[in-house]
Amino acid sequence: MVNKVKVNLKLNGERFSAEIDPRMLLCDFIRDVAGLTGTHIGCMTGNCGACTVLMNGRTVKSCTILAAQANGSDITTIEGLSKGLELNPIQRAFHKRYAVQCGYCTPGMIITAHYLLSLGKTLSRQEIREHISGNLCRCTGYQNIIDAIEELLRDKGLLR
Amino acid sequence: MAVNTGGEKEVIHQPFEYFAPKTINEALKLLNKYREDAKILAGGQSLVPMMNLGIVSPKYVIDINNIGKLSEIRENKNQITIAPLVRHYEIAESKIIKRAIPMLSEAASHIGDMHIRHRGTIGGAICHADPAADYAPVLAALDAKLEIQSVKRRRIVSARNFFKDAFTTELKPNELLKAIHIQKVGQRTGTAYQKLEFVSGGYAVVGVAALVALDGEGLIEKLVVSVGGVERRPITIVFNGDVLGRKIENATIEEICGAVKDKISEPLSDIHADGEYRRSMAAVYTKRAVLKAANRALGGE
Ligand SMILES: Cc1cc2nc3c(=O)[nH]c(=O)nc-3n(C[C@H](O)[C@H](O)[C@H](O)COP(=O)(O)OP(=O)(O)OC[C@H]3O[C@@H](n4cnc5c(N)ncnc54)[C@H](O)[C@@H]3O)c2cc1C
Ligand code: FES
Ligand code: FES
Repeated sequence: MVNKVKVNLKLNGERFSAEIDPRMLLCDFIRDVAGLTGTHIGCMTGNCGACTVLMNGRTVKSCTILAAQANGSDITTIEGLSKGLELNPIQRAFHKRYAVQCGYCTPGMIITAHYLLSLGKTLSRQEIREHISGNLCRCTGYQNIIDAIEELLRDKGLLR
Repeated sequence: MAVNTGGEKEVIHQPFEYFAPKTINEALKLLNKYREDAKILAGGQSLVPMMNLGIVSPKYVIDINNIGKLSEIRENKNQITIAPLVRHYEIAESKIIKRAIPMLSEAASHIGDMHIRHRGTIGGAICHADPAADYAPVLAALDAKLEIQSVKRRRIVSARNFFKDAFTTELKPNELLKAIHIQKVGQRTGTAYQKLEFVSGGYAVVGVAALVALDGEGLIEKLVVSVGGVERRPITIVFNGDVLGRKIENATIEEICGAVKDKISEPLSDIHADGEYRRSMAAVYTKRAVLKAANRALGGE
């Protein structure tokens, strides 16, 4: 039996701790240990972005991080962005613009959109496209997702 | 809330012991003890996917992310020193690097996607030595000095000699890349990195780094071109007599591109591009990089 490691972190604003096998990935920790299944797993190789979460305020792919490495960090998942069943503005924009089909990529896309909006930087459509290039969507063809993010930026006066 | 888990269904099959040392010395001691059985974990953007796929199966993982000293960018009069844990996005955004070595931030800003750049580190990218990676040609063109440390020994290796083969470097199992030292480029010197990628965030099909120094009359005083993505390691050409003293004009550029093409003997062929295409594109991107670097040498963007 290998050693276990203790992980203490902040998960969607609340303290959370567990003893885990060091092999456990952050995405599995979030889903299986914390029971937050909003974060999806697509590839396990850092390519698809379905597992995107915020770590200390920045987007990361949680399948490329050992849960042990998240010790002491502040993690936000899709569940942390809205209150209960009430949709947040990003989710509403995705809904309105039909930026969701099967929904597999959606949590990662919304976390990424949340991060882009939190930057407070002016972005062009081309820049939005580049910023979401780490999140693959097999359904929508991206246009509606970009439209939704564009609308959110426009509402804040941040669309170039 | 506290939870205990069994850990029966981990994606990574090989059990390993996890260490999170707080000092370089501690990390070096662990590395010295476990050697081939150990792996340094930096940004994890290459290592963790490889562990998930079972391509690499270390028995000891030494996470260096808690060693604060390894995250600094320092500048003095002639030199910039970058610690290995500096992340790609920090290199892309650093004012110091943008000003002194624009092609380094240019290369960093083209690595993978935003999430990868938030996490991946310059040291990890160098040590991983993927032939299609972006820093290698840039650091080779700059003749960056890599500071390598083991428990007993410190040595300096030029980036031109560090890359031995695809995914193979000068590092011994008990050694850590501790710092990257880059001489600031002088007056009337420009640098540029031009990358051919098929999708935004893709690896380099071809990536060319150029450093051009011009004299007072705009004639070439120094020219270095390094090409990544094309062979198993970067191809670096330090131009001499034939090109020096000449003007940046079509005939000169053609000669430079011809020399680059001639130097490529075993271009890589894969699903992205065949060897001949890579060789042709190496010439096209050399032209772009040299023209951009020359323009910067004259004070342009
Ligand atoms: C989807 C995706 C797209 C990518 N696209 C690109 C791209 O376009 N261009 C590009 O260049 N790269 C790309 N990468 C790779 C990325 O740059 C990685 O960050 C990099 O290859 C590894 O850096 P890391 O810090 O993540 O290192 P890790 O994955 O932690 O380590 C990589 C290797 O280096 C060793 N190592 C790390 N640090 C040290 C050290 N200080 N001393 C000794 N050994 C060390 C490790 O033991 C391991 O063998 C991509 C990766 C992904 C997942
Ligand atoms: S599951 Fe993490 S990037 Fe695909
Ligand atoms: S909606 Fe199906 S993958 Fe994006």
